[in-house]
Amino acid sequence: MGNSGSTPKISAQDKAILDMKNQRDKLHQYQKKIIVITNRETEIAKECLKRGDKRRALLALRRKKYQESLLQKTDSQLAQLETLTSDVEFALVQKDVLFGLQQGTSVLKEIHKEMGGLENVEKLMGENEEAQAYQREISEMLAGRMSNQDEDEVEDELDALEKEMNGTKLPENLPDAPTKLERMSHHCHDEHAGHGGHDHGDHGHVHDHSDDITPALQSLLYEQVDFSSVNTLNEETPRAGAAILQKTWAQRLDPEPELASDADEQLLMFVPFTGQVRLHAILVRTSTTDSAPKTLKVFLNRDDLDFGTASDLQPTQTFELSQTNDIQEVPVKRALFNTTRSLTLFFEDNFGQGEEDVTRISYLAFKGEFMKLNKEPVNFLYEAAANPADHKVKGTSALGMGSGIGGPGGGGGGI
Amino acid sequence: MAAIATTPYKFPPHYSFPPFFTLQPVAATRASQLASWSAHIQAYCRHHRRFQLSLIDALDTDLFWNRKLGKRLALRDARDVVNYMCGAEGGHRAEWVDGDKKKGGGDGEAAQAWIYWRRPEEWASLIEGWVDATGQKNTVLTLYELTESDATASQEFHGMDAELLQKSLQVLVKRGRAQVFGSEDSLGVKFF
Repeated sequence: MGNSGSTPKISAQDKAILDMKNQRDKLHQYQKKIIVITNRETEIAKECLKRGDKRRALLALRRKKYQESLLQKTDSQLAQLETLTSDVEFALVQKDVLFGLQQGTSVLKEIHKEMGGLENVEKLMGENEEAQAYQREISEMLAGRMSNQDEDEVEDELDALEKEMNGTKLPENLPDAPTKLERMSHHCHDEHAGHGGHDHGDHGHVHDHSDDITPALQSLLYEQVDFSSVNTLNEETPRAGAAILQKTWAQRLDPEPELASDADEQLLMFVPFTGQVRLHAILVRTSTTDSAPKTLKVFLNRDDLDFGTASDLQPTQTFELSQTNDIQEVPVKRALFNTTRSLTLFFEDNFGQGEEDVTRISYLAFKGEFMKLNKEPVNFLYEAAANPADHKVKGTSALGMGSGIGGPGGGGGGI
Repeated sequence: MAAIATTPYKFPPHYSFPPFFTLQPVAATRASQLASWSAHIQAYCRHHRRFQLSLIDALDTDLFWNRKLGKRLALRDARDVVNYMCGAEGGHRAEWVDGDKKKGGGDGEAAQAWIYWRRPEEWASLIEGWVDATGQKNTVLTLYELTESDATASQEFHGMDAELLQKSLQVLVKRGRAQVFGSEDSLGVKFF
């Protein structure tokens, strides 16, 4: 019994099977013994016959016969015992199978309980359906808002188309010769508007679609110049100074109109802006002749200068210009011109060294940034004072569009 | 108990070399000699399916006696060979029975040793492999049927010494792969 104790893995059924198998082994050993005896008796019988002792031989064979009958009985017992052992083993297997089925059923019931049963599943499916319907409504609402946005884009496209159509009407106005200068201004302005083709709220940009290789200068301050208030002293042709300012980028190489000095070589030009701007550079085109201006003095935010005071006062900055037919871009010290509301340009002399009495300039423009926050009140006040009818129209547009379109209105007033 | 061999045992070449039967004084030569004797004894016992060896009886057999040569290993030298086989140097290929190891006088009577031409651990793996191959896991088997039944007639462990069988099964018990149970004279084993 050395190994009998503490054997948790061995069950009572295992011990029963062991007992039956041990009985089987004993029967096997007994059968082997019978076979040995039977063989022995056969040998004895043969020896007796050799010696002529038939009686002893017969006796040995009888004993052999008896042993063989024992063997047959043992065979039956062995078969029965092995059948019983197999049945017990199979019953154990069946027991394990049943236990497995029982465990599986138990786990399945537990899972069903956790799911909350059939009613809970139905309730959950209902809630899921409701949530999906709600989501569809939300999606449809968002789609509606998107369609509103599409309508806005369509309206913008309509405005652009209208401007294009207005542009095509320009040739009809050209033949009016008596008011040549004013017509010219109007033509330039509207042509620009036609080429723009975009929302007027974006006043920081100027676009044109000419074939010029040079890309458009996005920071050109064109819309912000108050052309009607430009004043040039000693100009030979009236309003010539404003005329060269109103040339568009596409017209920058046109020889006419041109600003020329009258009595002597000096020119003094006052340029106000419609709001506050941050000046970056001055663009100017002159020539390679002695008529090209040489020294340019710029005064910031002063509207009270004449030739005497301009010569005496210290300018905000002084520039030396070049003799060239190309556009000169003269950068300014930005720190000095951060809050520009007006500029006074004093062209003091030219390259004639006193021999040439005429100074000529064919193109003038400014680069910088416009600060939109300061634009609207100025336009508002200006229009209110100038033209009440325009004020009403502007108000309506402003409310509808949400963008300021005072620039063109101001221009119209001037014309 | 010894099975009748179908083919005769093939003696190693140095069995015909007279100095083989005298333990050598030089250490390197002696180590080589002991290893050769160990191999010879293991092969001889495997061939004749002997699991234990009685030195007194074995001295008179052709294991230790080459009659053609007239040379035989002395008892003292035979004991040295077995001691070598018991140690780590000899690969634990032998084990004295009942602690006879290096015993002094009166040694002739009890000089018995297991010859492990296959160690208990190796027998254990063999038996476990057969049980697995024949689908008898989780089945109760008697120790008798493992070594004597027709079912294992083709296996190496058929006819194995009963005590050695128990040593091997104890290896499996320690590994948790089997459990031996039952009364003293009718032991059984269940494999897991």
